[in-house]
Amino acid sequence: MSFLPNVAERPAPAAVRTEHLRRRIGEHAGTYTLYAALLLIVLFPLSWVILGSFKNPSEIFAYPTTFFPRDFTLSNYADVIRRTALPTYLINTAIVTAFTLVFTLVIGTIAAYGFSRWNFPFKNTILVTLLILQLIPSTVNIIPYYLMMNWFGLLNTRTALVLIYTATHVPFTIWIMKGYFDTLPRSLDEAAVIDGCSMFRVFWSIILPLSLPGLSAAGFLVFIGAWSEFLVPLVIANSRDVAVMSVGLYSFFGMDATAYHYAFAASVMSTAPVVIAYLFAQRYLISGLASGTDK
Amino acid sequence: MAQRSTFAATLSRHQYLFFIMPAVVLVLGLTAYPALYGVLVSFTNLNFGYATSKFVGFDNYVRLATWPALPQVLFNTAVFVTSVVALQLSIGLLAALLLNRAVFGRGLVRSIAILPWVIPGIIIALMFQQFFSGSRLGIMNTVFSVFGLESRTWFSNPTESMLVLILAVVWRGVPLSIILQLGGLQTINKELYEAASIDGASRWQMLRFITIPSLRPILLINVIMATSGTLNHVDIPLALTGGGPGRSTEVLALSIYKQGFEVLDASYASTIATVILLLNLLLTIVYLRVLRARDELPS
Repeated sequence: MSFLPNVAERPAPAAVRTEHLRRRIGEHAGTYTLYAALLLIVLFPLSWVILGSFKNPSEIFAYPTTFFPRDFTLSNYADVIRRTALPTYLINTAIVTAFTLVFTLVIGTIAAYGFSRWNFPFKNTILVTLLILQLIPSTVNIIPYYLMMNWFGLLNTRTALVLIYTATHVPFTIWIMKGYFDTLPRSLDEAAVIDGCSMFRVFWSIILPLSLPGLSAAGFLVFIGAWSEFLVPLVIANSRDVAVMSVGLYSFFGMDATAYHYAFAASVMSTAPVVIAYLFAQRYLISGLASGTDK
Repeated sequence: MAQRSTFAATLSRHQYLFFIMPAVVLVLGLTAYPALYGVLVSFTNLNFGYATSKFVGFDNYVRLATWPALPQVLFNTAVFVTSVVALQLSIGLLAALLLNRAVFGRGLVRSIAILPWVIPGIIIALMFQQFFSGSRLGIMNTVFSVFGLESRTWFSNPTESMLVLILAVVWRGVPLSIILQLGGLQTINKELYEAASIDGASRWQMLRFITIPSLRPILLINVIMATSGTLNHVDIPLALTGGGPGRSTEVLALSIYKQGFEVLDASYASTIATVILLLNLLLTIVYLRVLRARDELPS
């Protein structure tokens, strides 16, 4: 269609536009069939859970199984909020995620600025080491984490989780932010320093505001990482009062088949924050990650 | 006075230390140190059930090599990792090619196709558990009956259990491949296709001789990332099947958790972790080679 580039932009009569759209869709029937298959694979399991959360418990356990709720009810949500500890788990998750986000972005961007603006011995060695350490997963470190947190007296605290999450998310934050800082000319910093700004001031009030897209992309990745983490909190902080969402769902009512009606509503409530964040972040996330890979 | 200004000069020359030190100390302290500590623990007989421990040399490694369940766990790991990586890559490539076509509505489809990537592993495990429930409440059995197929028991059958586990991990992992492949597709020079179509190349030939070769470096990075991600993945195996029935879905990474926190044999778990750490280092070396070859790393 490249020989008709501006059709959509020209004010065309509605009928012509619909006709044009229909023709274009018709031309790509094969593509759209495959799109439909893709959407079905992603959305069918998700809508099963979402629709299930609005069914009466009697309908959930009835046979034959229904897909759409016969009558729509919010009672599962009310039950989960009143009768289970899910609100506590979600608050714990939010606290741990928020602190992780702030610490990771502050420590990560400050370091990225240092790596971007100064040349010093072993700089590239340190950068590559950070990249390698990023690839050591928490799975391998789980026994030492337990022993170390036990030694620090931090078992069953949210502090332990924030410490570990921050350390595991800082390396990629440095890599993303350094990429952004490198695109900003050094003359910007130099001009500000000549005007009497300290380097911290330059970083905070000039460089950082210009790097907001990178900061949002890194921030989103930290957010979904910290929100979803499962193995580390299961081992380090599994008592009921400090349990995060994943541990709560697994240990306290995830495994019980009779709690389907709770599990559906709890799953929706636990996933909503990341999906909402994704809806806001996805635009520059996809382009940002894509541009990161073809750098 | 002169001394002070030298001090000030030294300070400002090394100002970068104030910027990088917090990150370097934190990351070394909580990723490199624990990794080395874990290797150390694998040479002791530390058990969470006992107060003391002592150095035992390679005893744990000998125990691991002669562990009766080892062949099965290794077999499970191999099946799990290769199937997940192969499926993630091929489905991801197919979806990326599809989503790279300039058609109306692809932005929305792309956003939805990437959605599984942000869903917490524990939720995916719960979802697939209910989906493939062997009772008549499982919707997959309902769908099967619509097509006249027999109901399956899923999680009480070793093969079907592994199949569902692979499906769940692939469902979550395909978006990463889509993101990487789409990025790769967008870097291919459009003129190559124009030249090829002038020369009368078919769409299949263009895919075979332009698209795939141009994507090779990205595909390689994708293989490495997916392999490392799947090898170290514990969340979904632990929450979905817990390694069962029996040991039929127990993978190496899950053995770390089970030996460490169910059997409480911390040193044995560390031994398994050390083996996985070595496999990771191997993957990392390959990864760095690929990045160097693409000039993405300062050497």
